[in-house]
Parts: sequence; structure tokens; C-alpha cells
Amino acid sequence: MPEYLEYALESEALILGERIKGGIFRPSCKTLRWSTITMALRKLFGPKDIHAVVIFDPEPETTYFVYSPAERVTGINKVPLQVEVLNNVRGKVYIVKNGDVNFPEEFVIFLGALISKGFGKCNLKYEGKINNIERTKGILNTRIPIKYKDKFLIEEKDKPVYGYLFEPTSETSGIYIKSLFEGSEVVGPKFLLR
Amino acid sequence: MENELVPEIHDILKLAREIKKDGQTLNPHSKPELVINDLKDNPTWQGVCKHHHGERFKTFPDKSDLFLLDVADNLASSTSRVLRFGRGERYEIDDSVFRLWKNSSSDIEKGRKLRSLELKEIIEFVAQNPSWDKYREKYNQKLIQQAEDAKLGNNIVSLYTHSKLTGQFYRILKNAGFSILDTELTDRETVSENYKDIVGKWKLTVFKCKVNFSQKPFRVRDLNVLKVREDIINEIQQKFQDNVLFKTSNEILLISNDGMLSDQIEQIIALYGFWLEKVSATSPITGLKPNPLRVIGNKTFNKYQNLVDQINPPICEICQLAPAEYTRIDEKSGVKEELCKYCRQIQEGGERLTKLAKWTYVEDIRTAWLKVSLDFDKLADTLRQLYIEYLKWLDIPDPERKAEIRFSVLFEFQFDYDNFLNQLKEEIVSKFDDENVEQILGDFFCVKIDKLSEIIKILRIYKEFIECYFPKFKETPESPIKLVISCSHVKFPFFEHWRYLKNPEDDVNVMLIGRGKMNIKLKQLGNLLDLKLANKTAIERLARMAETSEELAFMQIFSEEGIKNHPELQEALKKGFNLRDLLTYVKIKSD
Repeated sequence: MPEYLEYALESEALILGERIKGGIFRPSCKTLRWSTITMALRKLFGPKDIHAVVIFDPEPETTYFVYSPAERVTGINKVPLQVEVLNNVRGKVYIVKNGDVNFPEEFVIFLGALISKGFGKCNLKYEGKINNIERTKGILNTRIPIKYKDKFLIEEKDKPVYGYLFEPTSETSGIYIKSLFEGSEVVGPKFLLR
Repeated sequence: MENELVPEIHDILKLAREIKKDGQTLNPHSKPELVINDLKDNPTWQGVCKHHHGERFKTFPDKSDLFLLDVADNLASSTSRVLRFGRGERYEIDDSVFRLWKNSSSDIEKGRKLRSLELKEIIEFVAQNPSWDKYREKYNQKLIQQAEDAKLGNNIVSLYTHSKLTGQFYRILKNAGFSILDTELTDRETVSENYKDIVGKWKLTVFKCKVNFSQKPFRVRDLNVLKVREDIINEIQQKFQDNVLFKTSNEILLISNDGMLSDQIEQIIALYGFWLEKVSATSPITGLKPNPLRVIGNKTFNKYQNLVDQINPPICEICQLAPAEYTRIDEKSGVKEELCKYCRQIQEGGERLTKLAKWTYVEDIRTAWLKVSLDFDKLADTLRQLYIEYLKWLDIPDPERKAEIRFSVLFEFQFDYDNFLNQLKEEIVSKFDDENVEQILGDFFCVKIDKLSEIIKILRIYKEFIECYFPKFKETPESPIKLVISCSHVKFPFFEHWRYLKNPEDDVNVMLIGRGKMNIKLKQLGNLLDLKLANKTAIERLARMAETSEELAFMQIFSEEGIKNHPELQEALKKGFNLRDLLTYVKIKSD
């Protein structure tokens, strides 16, 4: 049975852009999906077999940020974009315990978009190990790829909500993998459910 | 149609005046044996006279078709036979339909009789072997006004609804191959025994399907997905007319004897990449309930089209659920889009919303998206509560056990709900002009507005019609009908509006994108609209303050100046209105 390391996450402002064609508006994903946190941890701690998810609690407030990206060559500003920002974010990170990585008690990680503009800084603080997992039927509160659901002791039931998450396969490319999205009826650890 | 039983006409005698025979005043419907020989070889007339097997009747179904009609009649009735008035139990009559969502005790008139047709006229009509359409054409109003069962407490469904539904159930049973040998219908007692046995054995499946899409509509052309979904639901209704018992723009309730119907529907849905949320319950005829979710042992599942385990880029930009196989370049903006086969199919319908398309290319246009939705589960529960209340008014004992909401009540409700939506649309078009209203679905509109305060006009129209059609919903803790208005500049992405429009938080919801929101109960709407916020300058100042800080606005309301300028707001807060809701209303009113 896997064990999990629980970390408290705090961030003043996060932009977790959805992959949607929105023209001048970019909404934020209201959950911190597996792909975002896992890839950020792998970037920090090396390309090891790290898997993690985050559950926000409470639901973060949202505001809007307008910015105008400039063309690299000409330096001319393009049409202003409006992005949705998650403010005063609080949550719990659950990392599947991994013998290869010695996760520190506290560390800082950068997630999401516009990091250069000051967004995305997250403080993580270790809270403890979870090993006696209580599993129950409920509604999933995050996004997890189907191929990794066993790592989180998730069992699909009859009412999944499907989508695809991006998994990099190299520095420059990747694939979209079938995933369970928030709102799926599952049997799983209580801490991953609504 | 010649020489075939028309099941919808089976209760025509309920429209007949009483007759006098041997010094007695008799109801022809209760005494079919007096008229059965008037049209001996007419199958429909045989159905009229022989579709009951109860003790009170001297005739009984003596052929398989008539037996099916008896079963269908029961399935379509307003109340369960088990829970009807027993022998010797007192009851009173009112021929008029008591609509649970509309009528109150003052609408009841004990002893009221509406049946006005002479028996001779009815016999002459049926002798022509009329169709259901001819029957409706001739007696539409009478059928709508006359209760299926005139006993007070049972008079909650019209004869029109009951007749139509009986026809549907009859054909469902017949097409399912249910039958009984004529030799098992030799006398009333045998029929009664066989009936009890059969209704425990014959099984039907009720299933409720909600059609969902994964597309995140952004451009006007993307909104075709809503039209396509509505078209699919209409196609299902056309194709399976008899099986469809209830529908909205995204949900449909059906009944069938096997899984093939369900499979066919899944195939239709999958053609467009939509997915289904399905609830089904199979029960014997005696145990059929209109809401399968309330049946123990029901099955619920989500059904998607075949989704692959992984997709190599590019992925469809609109639905994010399938590989992109086509590249489309938008003619007007030049933007490139990668689309899957489903989204391309949907977009190929062209821009069906021509007014909205025009508005998106003009500067400084504000739009209010307006969606009315119906919570089916809440509807069934609410109607049951209203039914219990009705039975209590009449002092009918054991109301909680007797108040059962059956298919016929939902069918009756659908009639009023559809009329409500049509009238709402007509009034909105009338008040805002046709050129400023884009109707997307029967329950979904986009209105071009110049200022936020025009939202109040929409709220008043909504209040007027919901109080006209469903005044009882104001008295219930939660209304099953919800309104969401989401307002912003026309260029704001639709998929963000859709997030609010498809998930109403309360009965009446207004979202001012980026500025505030209001979620109130239906019963609060009248009080809110009656608030006299007379001091325009003070209101505008308060609205500006609220944009910065709700706490500051709250302090302003209760300040010395607030006592002078905002006494109504103070009162409203004391009466239970939420500050955020009031401040959003203030912002609406001040623009």
C-alpha cells in the first residue's frame, strides 16, 4: 500500500491556465492537477518517479490580471490578454512516498504561468506521513491520469468525468493521456475527495 | 386508422353529461354496460366501454388489446389505484384540474361539473372512427379543462394529458410484445386475478438521460453545439415519440421494455462526441416511478464515445477529448483552429446565431445571457410536497402515503412549462425588440442591453410569468425552476458565462462578470424589485464604494448618512437579504 507525504501549500497568487482557446481571455483551472504539480516537483528534484496531487481548501478567490506580451523580435506589445488569477491559495499536496527522493521539510516551488511576473510562488511545509489510508466512495476533487490512478488508490466507478492531461515525454514534446477529472465518482482516499 | 382501436379516445365518456335512466341520474362513464351495444363493431367504442376490470363495472376487457388498454390506462392515471378512495369512502367532485404548481384552495369549487357533451354526440363522433388528431381538434379545450379523475384529491391531471399518455403506454406495451390470451379474459374475476399477476411480472425500464458536451464554446460558431444538442434531443423525441415522457433542452425521460432503445440513443449521441449521464431503473409495472433515481437498485453511469488512452498532439482545441484531424482558419479573424471530426461537424453548421455574430464585430456592446433551467429531481420532490399540502387541505387521511407523483403529473407540468418558456420569450422579444434578442434554445437567450439596469426589466418579466404559471414555487424552500443571467461585454468568452449558466447556485442568479453576483430565492425576488432606491446619486456612490470594498459599503449603509439615504437597504438587510446580493443589485440599478 503506498504511503503519502502531506505538505501544506500556500501561495499568494497562482495562474493555472486551462488549455482552452479563449482568445484574449485565459481562465484558470480551479484544481491543481497532477501534471502541474508532478512536473514542477520533477523539475526541482530530478526526473524521478515522482507523483503528486493537490487539493485546494478552501476554494481560492479569483481576480483578473491584464498584461500585454511583447513580440520578442520587435518588442512591440500585442493585444492585451486577461488571465484569471487564483489568490490566497491554500491547499494540501500529497506526494506518493518515493525512496529515491529526500523531500525537505520546507521548500519553495514555482507553478503555473507568468512566473517572471511574480506569480506562481508556492511555499510547501511538511505536515506528516499518511499510511493508514481510509478509502471511500465519493467525488474526486482533482485530476489524475488513469494510468497512474493506482498510485493514488483510485478506483473508477460508473460516473467518470474524463479529460486529457499533458505528460511530457521529452524537453520539447509530450502526449495527452486519458485522465479522471474533478467530479468523477470514484472510490479513493478521503483526502482526495470532495 | 379504420377499424383500429384508438387508445387515446378511451375516456371520452368523461366528457358526457349525466343521463337519466329508470328514474336515476347516471354517469355514462361509470355505466358503460348501458351503451356498449350502441357501436358493437367499433374497436374504439369497445375500448371506451371495456377498459376497466374493477368491481364497480359490469363490463371488463375480454380481448388482449383491451387488456393492454386497461394496463395503459392505469399507468397513465393521476393516482395509483391502490391509493384511491376505497369503497364507502366519502369524496367530493370538481371537474376542473387542480394544478399543484398553480392552484390553491380558493380555486376549488366542490360539485363543479364541466362535462357538457350529449351522449348522442359522442356516439356519433366515435362511429366515424376518428383518429387522436381528430379527437383533439374537436374537443381540445374540453380535454384540457376536464380532470381525468374528478374526485377532489385525484383531480391533478387533465383528461388531455391522461389520454395522450394512455396512447403512448398502450403502444409501448403492444410493441414490446406484451399480450394475454383471450381465454384468460373470460370473466371479471379471472381478469382481475390475471391483472394482479401480470402487473407484477411485466417489466419496463425508465431511464433519464442528460446529454452533456465537453466543448468549451468560444466563438459564435462554437455555440452551434447547443443547437446540435437540442436537435439531437428533438430527433430522439421524433424517433421514439411514444417512449419519451418528459424533456428539456438537455435532458430526456424515456420508458422502454428493453435496452435496445438505450443503445440506439447512445449511438445517436456518440455521433457528435457528446456524453450521457444516465440513470435507469427496471421495475414491474406496479412499481414504476417517474424518477429512476428514487428507485432502489437503480443504475447510474456516464457513457462517453470511445476515448483512446493517449492522444499525440495536436489535440482538438474545442473539446480537448479527441485528436485534432482538421485545421480551420477563421475567415474573419484569420485565427487557426485545430479541430477533431466531431467539432468540425458541429462548426460546419455555419453561424446559426446571426445576430450574435453581428454583435461580436461591433464595439461596446453589452450582452445579458439568460438561461432558465429545470431541476428534474427537485421537481418531482417539490410536486410531491405540494400534493401532500393539497391532500391536507381536503382533510384526506394519510396524505404522505397517498401523495405519489406519477408520470401523468410530470407530463401535465411539461405542458405548462413549455407554455411558460414560450410566453417568456415572446415578452422578452416584445420588450427588447426582436433585433436585440438572440434565441439560442427554448430556454436560453442572449439579449443586447445598453445598461445594466435593463436586467431589472428581465427580472420583472421573469417574475410576472413565473408567478402566473408556477406561483406555488414561491412558497417552497427551493424552486425547481432556476434563472441565471450572466452579463458582460459581448467579447467576453462564452465558456466562462456557461460555467455560471449551467450551474445555478440558487433560484434567481445574476452574475456581473468581474463586478459581482447575486443569488436569491424566488420568494425574495418580489421584495428585491420593490426596493425603492430613490436617491440616484447616493446609490451610484454606494455602487462605486462596493466595487472597492463590500465592508466599506456596509458601513456606509449603516452610517448617519446611510440612515437618511438607504433606509430600504437597512430594512432589506435586517429582513435577511445578503449584503453581497444587495450590493450587486445596487450596481445593476445604478447603471
